[in-house]
Amino acid sequence: MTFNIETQPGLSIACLGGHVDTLNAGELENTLVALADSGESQLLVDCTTLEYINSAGLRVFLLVAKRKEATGGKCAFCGLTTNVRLVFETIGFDRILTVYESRAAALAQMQSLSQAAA
Amino acid sequence: MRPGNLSTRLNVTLGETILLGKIVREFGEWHGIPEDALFVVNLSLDELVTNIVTHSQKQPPPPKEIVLRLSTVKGEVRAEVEDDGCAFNPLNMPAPDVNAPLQERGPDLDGLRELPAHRRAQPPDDFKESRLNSPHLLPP
Repeated sequence: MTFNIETQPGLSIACLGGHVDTLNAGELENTLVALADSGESQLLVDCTTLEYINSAGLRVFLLVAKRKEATGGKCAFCGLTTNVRLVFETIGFDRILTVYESRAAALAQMQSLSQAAA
Repeated sequence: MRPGNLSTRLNVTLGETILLGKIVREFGEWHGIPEDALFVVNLSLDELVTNIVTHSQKQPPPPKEIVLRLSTVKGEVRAEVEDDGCAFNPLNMPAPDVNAPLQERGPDLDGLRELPAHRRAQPPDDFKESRLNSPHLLPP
């Protein structure tokens, strides 16, 4: 699993790559929850290089999205590969989470929200 | 797809999910299983083994080992997971509500962990939970 953080005005971007499974989901939870709590009001999880995720990793996504929404922030996901999108759709996450096709599409939408809020 | 089969034993630990992924990937590459099918097989087996490790300790006797069988027959991939722990039928559990709104989705993540059972439970299908002598046998 790889995890890199980028920051733009009003927006934190977490670039997640590799495999997220039961063994490293705890590490992901610690990192992503900390970013959600201390970062910008909007959080984008870029999954462009995420190859595999199981229920343990999806639980972290759910936890962070609920946490962000509960505090008035926004959380979105982008760049899902075919396999990761299949998992999202199977579990219904594509209907309850904000998912953008690409990083560019996500940034266009979220940056305009940041500018509107400023 | 090249016909063949494999049977192996796994320890009842979460660390074995890494080995499981390697076994499935190598089996798939050797037998020419399409990448998308291989992903679903791997994910289903990952969730099954994780469930066995996570939940089997709660009700004695705990399983001593997990047996994995993979085969390719006439263009199909078949997988079986067998453990010798306490029996339960996953089809008796409530079906996951994948339409619940965000704030109502629980930490146990209704849906994916039950995916292997409920995905295969839709008719017509050959899913079954069975006990052969004493082991707990569950195809994904």
